[in-house]
Amino acid sequence: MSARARLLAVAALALGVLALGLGAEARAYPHFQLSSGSGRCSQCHIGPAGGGLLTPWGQDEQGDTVARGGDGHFLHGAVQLPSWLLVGGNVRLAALANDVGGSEGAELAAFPMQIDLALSAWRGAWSAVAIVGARGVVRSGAPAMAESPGGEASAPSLGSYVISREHYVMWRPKEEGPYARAGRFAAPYGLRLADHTAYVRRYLGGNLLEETYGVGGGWIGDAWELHATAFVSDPLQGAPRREAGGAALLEARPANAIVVGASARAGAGEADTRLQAGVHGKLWIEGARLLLQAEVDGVRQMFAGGAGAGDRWQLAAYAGPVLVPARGLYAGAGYQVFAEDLQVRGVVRQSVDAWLAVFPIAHVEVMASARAQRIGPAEHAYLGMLQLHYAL
Amino acid sequence: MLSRRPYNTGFALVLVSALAAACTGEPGDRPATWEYLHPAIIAPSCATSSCHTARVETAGVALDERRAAYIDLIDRRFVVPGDSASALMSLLEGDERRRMPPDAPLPAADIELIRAWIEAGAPE
Repeated sequence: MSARARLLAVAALALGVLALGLGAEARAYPHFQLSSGSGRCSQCHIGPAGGGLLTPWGQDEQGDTVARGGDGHFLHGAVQLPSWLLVGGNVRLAALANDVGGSEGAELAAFPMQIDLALSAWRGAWSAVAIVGARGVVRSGAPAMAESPGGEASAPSLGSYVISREHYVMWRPKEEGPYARAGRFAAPYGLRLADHTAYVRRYLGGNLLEETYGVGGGWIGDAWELHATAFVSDPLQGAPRREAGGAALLEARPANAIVVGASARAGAGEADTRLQAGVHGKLWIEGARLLLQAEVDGVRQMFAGGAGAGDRWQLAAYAGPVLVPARGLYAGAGYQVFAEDLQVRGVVRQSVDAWLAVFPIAHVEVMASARAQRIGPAEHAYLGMLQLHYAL
Repeated sequence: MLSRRPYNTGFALVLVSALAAACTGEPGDRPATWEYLHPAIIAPSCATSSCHTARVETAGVALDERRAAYIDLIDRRFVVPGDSASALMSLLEGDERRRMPPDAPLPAADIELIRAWIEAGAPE
């Protein structure tokens, strides 16, 4: 083996170890809320409950507190946009090793996880927000198609790869005070973790591309905020549940380092009705540079027909610390549990996550994560992932 | 006061985990019908927006609509009523195929409920 080949092998091994041993699914950007000194998510984000495009304040924060340095503005400050326009976007590449206990062994994949462009334009109190991009594709499905018993499968259309997670019109006259919006967006609920596979998102209506169409509004204050949404499932982009309903989130900051919140969501469809509620909290311990965050939710699901047969109670919880040992460096861990049916033995999922994220300069993130799951009494799944993320 | 909060959070988590682990029902209590299986297990596990929806149709399979999903599984012989060795079972168990769902398997109790449904003739 040549010196170059040995070097490549060592580098690949190091990346593999990093991906398998350190990382996490929890790209939990909500940890910026207190650790960066910002009390409200909407200080840094256009979305009134956080997420999506950064405000000019958020762009400043990206370079000044979140990353190790650099200019957080559009194109690193090289281009000055008009004051009524914000442009952003994301390119996120990922590599993973995934073992779910199948006879084929561990799956290895490298894939584009996220490619999107975000725009926001406003005039006075009114603004329009849109995020358009391509959905990530880990697996083409080709092997299963070839083996499928029917053998009459077709590939997804090119159009199915184009997605718009959010597009809405918003009225928000001031940074603090009332707001209202209409369009497609994620109804605010719970911790609002960035990781869509977190149990408190995946199993509670917040999985990838499950943003709904609806109207929402609320009040954003210095010490508390309220968000309420009436929604219907997106009929165009697909969702595991077709439903209409409402959601509400009340979050308070009784002190600079503490956030407590309560959420509720109700949705009814042809097949079932789901009622869920939960509480969440965050505590920032400045001396230890440590954030503690947790969420617990309960769900009552009632199925159509069958006179109540199978109606169930579910429970989902997430908890984990995030350590910020130095500017631009974040290390986290998480424990999750999801009980699919509290009256049935053997359908509880548990997960332990760990992750490390580095922001060497503004706009750039490197993240390694790992997850070990125990599903019921006997099944296990293991995931290691490495992500390279550039935010426009 | 602040020093007590991590302890309290940890205690709450232990309590939640204990509650979840203490589930005492039996898998047989649940109805082995498609009317239950689809919204309870199949749709939330398989019809995620980037997998088996009508729009994406990964591997040509859409499972988001209950009736259409049932017809597709039967017509394409993923499910052969009465045959517990149907292709769907080998997919869920990862037997000589890529295991589904690919991110995390179903709990064994759910797989057994689906097997019981197929053995009972896959009633809709």
